[in-house]
Amino acid sequence: MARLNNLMGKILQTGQGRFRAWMGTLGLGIAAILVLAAVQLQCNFNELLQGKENRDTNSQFLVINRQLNSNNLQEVALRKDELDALQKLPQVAAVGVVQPGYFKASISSNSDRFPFYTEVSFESVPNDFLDQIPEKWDWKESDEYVPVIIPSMYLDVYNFQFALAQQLPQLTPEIVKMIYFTIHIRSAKGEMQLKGKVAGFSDRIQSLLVPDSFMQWCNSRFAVDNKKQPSRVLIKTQDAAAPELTQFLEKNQLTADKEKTRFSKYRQVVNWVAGISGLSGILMLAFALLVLTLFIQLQIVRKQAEVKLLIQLGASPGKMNTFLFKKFFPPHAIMVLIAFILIAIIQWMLKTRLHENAIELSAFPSWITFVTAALLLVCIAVVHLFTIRKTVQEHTRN
Amino acid sequence: MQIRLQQIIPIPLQEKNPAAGSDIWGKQVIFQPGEYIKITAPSGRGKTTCSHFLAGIRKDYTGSILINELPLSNYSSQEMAVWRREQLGVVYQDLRLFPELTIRENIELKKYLAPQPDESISIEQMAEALGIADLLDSKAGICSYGEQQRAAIIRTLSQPFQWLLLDEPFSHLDNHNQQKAIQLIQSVLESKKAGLILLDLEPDNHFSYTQSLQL
Repeated sequence: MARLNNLMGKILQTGQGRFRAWMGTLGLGIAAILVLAAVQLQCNFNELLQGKENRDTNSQFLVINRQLNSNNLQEVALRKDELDALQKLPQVAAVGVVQPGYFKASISSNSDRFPFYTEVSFESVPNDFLDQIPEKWDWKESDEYVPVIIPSMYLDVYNFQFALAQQLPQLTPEIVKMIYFTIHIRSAKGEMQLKGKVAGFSDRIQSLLVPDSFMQWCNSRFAVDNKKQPSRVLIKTQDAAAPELTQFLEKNQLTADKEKTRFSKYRQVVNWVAGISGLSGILMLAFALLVLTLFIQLQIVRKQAEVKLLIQLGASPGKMNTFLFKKFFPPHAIMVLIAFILIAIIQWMLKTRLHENAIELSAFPSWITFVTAALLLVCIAVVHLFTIRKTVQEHTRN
Repeated sequence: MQIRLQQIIPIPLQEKNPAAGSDIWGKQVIFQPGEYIKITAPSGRGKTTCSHFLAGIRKDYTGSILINELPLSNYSSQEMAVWRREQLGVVYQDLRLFPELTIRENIELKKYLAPQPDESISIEQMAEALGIADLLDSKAGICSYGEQQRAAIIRTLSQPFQWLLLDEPFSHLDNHNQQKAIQLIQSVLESKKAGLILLDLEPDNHFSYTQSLQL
């Protein structure tokens, strides 16, 4: 078999069209690099967004409200159709209404040693949206005190800013949770005082939160108009940086935590870069395959008489096809392999570089990139087989 | 392996009434295994056409060629490859050697096309017998027609076959070399117990023909 292949190689060898063949092969290699790079770029970005090492739980919840400007100052409420559309977005797993209190409220200290008084407003959210649910969070009218969750940031502001300026003692979260204070509630319907206590801290919601049951009770008792549409909602999302979500918010003049959606801009840039790279790769791949197809056809047509004679001497078309496939395919398969190795090297370098910045990325290309490379190989092999078979058939017909 | 030619008429010769005076065109002829057939015809009567029909490289004919009662025209490309590689050895009139290969390579190519090449065949011995041993490593393209014709005969004899088809096989050989070629062909035919179909311009007694037909 080796001798036969050697002889067939000698018969079908041609020095003509080498330059075109090299250009086609090189084009195929560049195309493979572009396609694989686009795929790997997307995989890396997804890993950065969703990888356990890099997951930021805060980014999974967003508080949404209207973007206020001079034209819509009176229209802060979110319409029902907006909420329905938001709920239907594939990126949105759940929507929770942030219920405001429609009454005036203030809190004041019960202690002479530590006096304070401040006007406040309360909100409530469904329990599913809290980052931590305190031990005592249900409220009944008969309860001794009203539990309140405050933003962690408030304590930081007190400890590292207010207390230093006012020469007051710093407070730990545990101490804060022990302090009772008085909640004053008043509206046109009346007023009342209740005991309150900090039950927990939230990193997620920058608002004074009370249990939903308490908020409903207060609103039913003190609110003048209790049927208003909500003006803020909380959404649970798998990808706070999804460009589709950001586009929806912009289109409806809504806004969310800028810090949390900032990634979306990067994501859009990455999508563009990956898209352009992928598209260029696919276009180049198509052109490279076209050039290679023409090259293969040209080579076979140039050696048409020899191929025909080989078949007349008893070489089966199947054997001819296999021989020609083995002659043309390996350099092109090697090119895809080189492209994959190159992507693997770049990935390893990227991992090393990003690790220095505490960003963790896989050292190896994604399995999706590997599958893409395999699919490229299959695609190239099919194009080769089809071209060879068709051309041999056409030019050796008796 | 029986060959039956059934009312074969070459389409390009249809208007010339080729069946008139012919033992083959438009007739039914049967070649039994091991027979030696001589087909004689002057130029232009379709000897090469007939050899191409039998080799399956042309199909522009009416009627049918049956190999063991199976139409040759229905052969798949794979069956046709087996027919040419293992059942029918052909020495074409135009020789059909690869000019860029040496004589040895041309012969080896045919030998190794068979799935299980017959290693007992000695190319050197056959080349010696036909007087071209010293040309085995010369490129076929630079050899004379006579030398190429002897190389083409050896190439065909190196392959397995049940029928040997020769189209004016000695046209470029002198009497001396012709006799050597006949002896070699005869010995290989006997060893393979194969049949012979020889197409030529004139009648001859080179072999013990069982049928002599006019084309």
